[in-house]
Amino acid sequence: MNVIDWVALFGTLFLIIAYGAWKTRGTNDMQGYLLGNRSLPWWTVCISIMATQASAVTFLSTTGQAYEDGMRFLQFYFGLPIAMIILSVTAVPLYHKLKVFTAYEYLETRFDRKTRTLAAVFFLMLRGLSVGITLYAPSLILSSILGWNINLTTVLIGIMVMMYIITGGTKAVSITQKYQLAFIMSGMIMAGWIAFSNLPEGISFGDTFQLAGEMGKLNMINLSFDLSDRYNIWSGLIGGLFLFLSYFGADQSQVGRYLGGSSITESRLGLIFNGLLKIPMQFIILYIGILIFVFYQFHQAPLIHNTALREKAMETEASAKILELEESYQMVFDQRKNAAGQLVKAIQDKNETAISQSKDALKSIQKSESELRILTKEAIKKSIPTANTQDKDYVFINYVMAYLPHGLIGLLLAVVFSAAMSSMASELNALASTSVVDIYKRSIRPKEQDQHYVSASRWLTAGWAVFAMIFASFANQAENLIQFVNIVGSLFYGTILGIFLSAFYIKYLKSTAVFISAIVAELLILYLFFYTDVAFLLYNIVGCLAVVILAPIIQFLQNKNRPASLT
Amino acid sequence: MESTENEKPPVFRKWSSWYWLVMIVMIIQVIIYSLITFSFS
Repeated sequence: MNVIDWVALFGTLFLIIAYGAWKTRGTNDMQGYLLGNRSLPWWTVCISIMATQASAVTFLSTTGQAYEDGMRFLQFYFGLPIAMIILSVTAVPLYHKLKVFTAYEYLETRFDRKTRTLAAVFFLMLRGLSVGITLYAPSLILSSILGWNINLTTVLIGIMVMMYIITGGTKAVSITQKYQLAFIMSGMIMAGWIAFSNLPEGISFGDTFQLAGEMGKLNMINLSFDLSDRYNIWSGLIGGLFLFLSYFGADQSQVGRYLGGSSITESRLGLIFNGLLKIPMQFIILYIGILIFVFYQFHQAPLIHNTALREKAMETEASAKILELEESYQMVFDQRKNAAGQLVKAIQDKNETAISQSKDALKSIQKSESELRILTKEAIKKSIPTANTQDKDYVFINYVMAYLPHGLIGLLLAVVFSAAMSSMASELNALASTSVVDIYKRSIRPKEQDQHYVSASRWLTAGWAVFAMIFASFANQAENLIQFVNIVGSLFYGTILGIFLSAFYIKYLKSTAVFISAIVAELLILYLFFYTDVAFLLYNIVGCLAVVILAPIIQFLQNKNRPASLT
Repeated sequence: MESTENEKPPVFRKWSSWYWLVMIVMIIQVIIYSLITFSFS
């Protein structure tokens, strides 16, 4: 990092925040602050939805995922277009017709106050914890790469987000997100292009595709039905459908985005275009990871991508072992570079026998390389037992720091900060709106002026941001926090979706039946969590089905027990 | 302007045409990704 990078980094971030604050100055009513005056066109709604879903970890992890594991992660998104259609037909017209601020407000219209409060509290619990991770994960990576204190990085990002969301609310989030997403994608594509243009002469874009394919990285479709395999076409279509129905239909951080649309048409088109564009966008991000994989066939990747951890380990007794392993790695890399060159030549010559031979040679060399990586990680772990040696998330950022020209490094770091800010802003905005509209205004101070609630929203945004910063500062004490937060999300998402599906589709259900079944479903999920080994992703389906099946049974029993004169 | 459930969609006459478009685009993508995957296996 030199002075040009720092100017690029802070200049870009300052421009984003200042633009959002300037465009939304003087927003003082609830409609304007929480829903952007319901004035947003479809393309702003669409971009805002996409930017909310794509956090910094998405860009850092997805490229690393493709680098190590190929493109099979793409299947995770196959349920999304179907979820977009279902929500366009059901949720969007309902929410618009009732002019609700939050998704949970609809539940009071359909059922009653207690069901609304229950769903709102479930949402606040799961989203409150995950916003801490949205902040913590990029802070951890950036602090490690930049050599900054982790708490300082966390506070810095947290304060930047607070500044522009408090001044402008939803409109600031949506207005800045469209530029942020364009900026993020341009930065990512530029990084991919630089990887491609630094390949040895004579390697075309088609050759990178062939090379990645031969190395098993273009594994985009897996048709086998295996419940233990997280990414296959069935888990993507079925599990993904449930997950995205919950996320886009009942999670205020997304509902708040399309409620800002100026009409049903604008909100629907926003969701439809998200359904059209999301999978190609993920394809592009994953392919950038593949380009970096191809790049590292011809340039020496570090033995461990978390270089800060390597430096730390070099100050311990593990240093001699690491140096020895790095020496062996140098020899393995020379062999691999040679084998990769031969494979490209065989591909260009369309020589099937040579392709098969060089592919086998390359795979065998890669196996030795993987063994060296495992030995290095073991050596580090032995000398620093608390170290997290998983370095997949560092692949992209480490490549940026090592191979991009100055100026672009600063811009790409701004991309990471920007992605963290845009998704965190939506989450904080959703937490504030749910706290104010569904809890504070409904149950604590119902008769205040609009300005009072806008002010309360601002304070609660700041409150949730501080909570996220505190949670993030304790995050390193948990062994695997991202997984922990995914589990927390799965503990509540299924039940919330079940409540909403009952509200949308089972017309004869009354509030008490749904309320009781939601409590029972939640207890069932907690039982599964504490006393069984059921995979946590299945909680989403179990919780949802429990509500949808139990509620009609309870309703039937209620109707049966009602005195004849009342039926 | 009051927003109604029966709002006419842009481009197409019915909303269902938009939904079909989303499904068709998804199916085409899955076919392309399958062809790529299985041509290397």
